[in-house]
Amino acid sequence: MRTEQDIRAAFRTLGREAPDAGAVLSDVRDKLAKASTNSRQDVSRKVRRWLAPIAAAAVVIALIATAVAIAGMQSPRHHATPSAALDKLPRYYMTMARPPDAAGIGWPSIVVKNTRTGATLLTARPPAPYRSFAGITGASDDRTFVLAALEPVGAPQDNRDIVKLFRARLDASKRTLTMTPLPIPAFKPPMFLDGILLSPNGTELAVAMQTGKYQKMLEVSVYSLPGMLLGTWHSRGLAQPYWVDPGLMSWTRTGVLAINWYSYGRTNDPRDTRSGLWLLNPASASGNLRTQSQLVVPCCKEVNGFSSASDGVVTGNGAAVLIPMVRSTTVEHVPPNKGPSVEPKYVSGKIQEFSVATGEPTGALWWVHFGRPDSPDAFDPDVMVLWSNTSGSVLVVQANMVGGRLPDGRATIGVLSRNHFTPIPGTSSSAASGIGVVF
Amino acid sequence: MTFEEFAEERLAAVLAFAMVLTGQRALAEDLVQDVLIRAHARWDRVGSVDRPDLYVRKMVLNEFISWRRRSWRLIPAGSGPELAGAELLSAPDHADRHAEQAAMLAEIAKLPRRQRAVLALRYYEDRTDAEIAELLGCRPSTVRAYASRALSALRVEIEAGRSESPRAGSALSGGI
Repeated sequence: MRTEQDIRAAFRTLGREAPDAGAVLSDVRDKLAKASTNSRQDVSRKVRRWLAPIAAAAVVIALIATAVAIAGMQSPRHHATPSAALDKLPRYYMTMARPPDAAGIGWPSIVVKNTRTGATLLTARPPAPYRSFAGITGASDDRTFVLAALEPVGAPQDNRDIVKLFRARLDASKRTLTMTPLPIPAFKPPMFLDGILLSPNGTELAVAMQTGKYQKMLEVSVYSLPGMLLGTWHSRGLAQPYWVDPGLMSWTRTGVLAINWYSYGRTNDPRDTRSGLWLLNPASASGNLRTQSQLVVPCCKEVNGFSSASDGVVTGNGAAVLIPMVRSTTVEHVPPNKGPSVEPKYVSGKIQEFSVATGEPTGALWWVHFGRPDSPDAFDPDVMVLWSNTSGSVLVVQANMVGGRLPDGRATIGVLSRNHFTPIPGTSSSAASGIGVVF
Repeated sequence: MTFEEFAEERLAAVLAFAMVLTGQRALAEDLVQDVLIRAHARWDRVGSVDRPDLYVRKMVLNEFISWRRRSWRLIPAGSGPELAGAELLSAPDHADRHAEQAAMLAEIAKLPRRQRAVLALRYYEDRTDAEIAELLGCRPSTVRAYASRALSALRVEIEAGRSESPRAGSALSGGI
């Protein structure tokens, strides 16, 4: 708890160091006065460009292999030549969509899009009384999905939402999704559904939730897709935890589940709590999550000055885990215009590979350096890995664009392959949250 | 609410939020100035919402996370976090506490932006995870994962710092 108190105190102090409002307002007025001398057309164009990222909708992506099922459904208007990187993906993907002006919480609809063109093929809403979706996941058979539908109860801050899981079957010829409730009880407070993930073969569904009076305990259950409970693992027995948070999950093709989770003990020593990326074999007996699974990479492990930026995923073959890492350094620099000395911040990012067998770093799959004034890099190095192929050579990641081919500042989802990032069309106005990405 | 009324009543709080996000006075100024200019251009809409200050804060947050401004990576020597750190250490009666706060802010400055944004929203703005998720356009569990990762990293670094020599006076070198 002390860390949180320290953060609050430091932030309060920092907030008191804020610039003077009068001076800032005076500068703004000066700039507005100068801007008014420019042509109205120029100003209007700039404002429109700035507005776009603000209106970005939240979307969660699940890539689905529907190549045969809905072939020929794409709009004839889209004839963009797909890059080699996009050829490595299935032809269609699914997102959860939320218009900028949507009321309530969750995502009101799901959308199936063409991977190469971004063209929308199908849109669906949840069955009544559910009003939105909270999560989606898909299997590699190109037809099978599980959707988490959400029924808001009370005000959002009340945290009383009810979540029900539905099996969804894509009828390609009719362009419809048939949703059937799974025989898994709805999740009601104090249970809080955190994530769902279908195994690649679509036979098992992993469900992560927080339970207990104060949602202090993590519980991971695995169901057969018809809805039969196969096992449940919980976080009891941790060293006096007062909070446990689950993160991103991923499956190997051999049926091992990777789970990022974090716990805080009553002490500040993270070694007591063992946060990090764990591997769970669902064939093991139900019981304690910590004793039945293997910690592969502890949270926040530094590698040559790089620190982890977001959750990792396991490769399809189960041999490695991949974790995004970033490093910032300050370097003395004299600008060519002989102005005041400046200290550029070099921000580097990479996808670090760790061996599952040893937990040691084995290689960096992707590098991006950001911060040099002359840098041609156009991507925020702080990426989130959503999916890995069997070997880890092809990744799907979420990244923030900072220039170049797409408007600045937009979160987009794309393919990382051979150290090259290729945006997936139709995802540039999205902000992914890393829920199930499957082929 | 007119733009002038907003500036009079709410701008100081928005600047404080920007200061917490960026950790640097110059960056906070730049950030808020840019946002205000954009907000002013469409104040008819911004001023008509229930809480224009929240709308502007969301613009500040988006701008901070967007990495759009390349010039942000050019930090004048001797300004920004170094200045903040020096000021925090200027009161001799509270030197130890201020040194700890400076060390904490230095470690926060090293975090990725989304993690820093989550900490600022949670521990400065006192927003719920659901509200933060709404602002960031992600799921509440993603917010908690960001917060957990940030807190774990800070605990590792702060504990390591406490076990080593005092870090008072060290320049804050983050600000990615």
